Amino acid sequence: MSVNKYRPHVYVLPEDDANRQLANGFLLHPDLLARNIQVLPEVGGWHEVLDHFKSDYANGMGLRQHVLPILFARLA
Amino acid sequence: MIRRLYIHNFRCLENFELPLAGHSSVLLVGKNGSGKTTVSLALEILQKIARGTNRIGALVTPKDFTRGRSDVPIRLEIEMALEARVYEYIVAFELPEGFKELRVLQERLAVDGRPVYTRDKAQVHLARAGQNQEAKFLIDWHLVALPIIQESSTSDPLFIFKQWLARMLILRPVPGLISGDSNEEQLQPNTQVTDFGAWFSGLLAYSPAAYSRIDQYLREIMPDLKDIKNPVIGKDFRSLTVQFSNQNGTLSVPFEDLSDGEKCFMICALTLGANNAYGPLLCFWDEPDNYLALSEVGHFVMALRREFESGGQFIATSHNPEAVRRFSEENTFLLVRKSHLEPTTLRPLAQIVKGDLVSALVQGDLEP
Repeated sequence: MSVNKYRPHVYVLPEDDANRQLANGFLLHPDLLARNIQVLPEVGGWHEVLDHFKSDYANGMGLRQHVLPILFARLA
Repeated sequence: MIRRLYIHNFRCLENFELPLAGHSSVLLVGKNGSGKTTVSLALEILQKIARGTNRIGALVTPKDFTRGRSDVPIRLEIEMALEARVYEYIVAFELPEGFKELRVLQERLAVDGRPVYTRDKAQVHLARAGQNQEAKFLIDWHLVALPIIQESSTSDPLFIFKQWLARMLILRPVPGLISGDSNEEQLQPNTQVTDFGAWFSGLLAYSPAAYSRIDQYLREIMPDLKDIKNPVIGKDFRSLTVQFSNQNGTLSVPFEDLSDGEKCFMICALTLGANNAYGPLLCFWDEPDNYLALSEVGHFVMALRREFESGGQFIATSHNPEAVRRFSEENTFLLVRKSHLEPTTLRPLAQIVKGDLVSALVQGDLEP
């Protein structure tokens, strides 16, 4: 059974391809319950991450938690 | 772990080298007909040799030459590292004029750079390092030497290499053909995994503890799984049934009646168990996303990647965006073939894609 709104799980919403690859590397950790984590397709920018989060995911969070990776180097 | 695979003049692969060193998992992407599956067919030749097929006619045929170019040998070279040793095996096949069946032009196995044996057409020179044993003999040039050279013990590098090669998992499952019946035990499933029952029996006979790994993986996907039974139902004949249960009761389902996707989960579970029990293995899975629900594809691929991260090597091909997204730039290779008259070329993704790979694949932007 994969992640769904009736079970505790984490969505990772990557800003770009680099963040997606970072999330993949994290999922390779052997001690992780990786089936409780779903990496979503990258959305193409930090503003888009916020927009997607607000429009698609913020409502009905329930047992869901979100990780929105930020690449700080780009903010400097 | 394979460090290098070189294939020349075999179907669409000319002077083709797959640089696998340092990668525990690799994804091959490319259009239909670009040569992804052909890489597994080349590996399958080596696997068949190690499993005992030594008649050349059962390994390669004249139609396997690139565009029928039979004046150039078919060459396969593999370099792999196992237990701190480096094994190199080379075999080349040629078709002299007037021959109907190919013959061996060259064959060589070396360990840490020292030859175990070398061969030039029919002449074999056996030179086992460290044992002061040398021998020269002739062998039918339509037979590969590797399966028929006797290893001296299970610690003989020749035995270790052959066993590793024979146990490679090259998977292109056809779930509709998998029944779950078996009349033997074995650790070397065929590519379509039609002998799943025999593999299941062999794995549990070899390592009963493997069941816990299988059970753990399957319960994550199918929480109502109770157990898998493999009862004897006739003389030397077993048939798998899968039991499910919840608060409403128990249901026993013959293996053959599972859905195609569920059979793929079972194959994945055995792959994880096998790598754990008698690995490190190489697993080449051609389109592992086939038959799976979209929500499962990513988890399926990551389960395999994670297993082989700690030992062994996993090579996948895919056209599925969810599967493609589970790999990264450094372990994704693009296979490109401009036309059916031209060979496959390999392009590391890191050099050609900046940004979203899936969009680039959908738009066909990666290929000329």
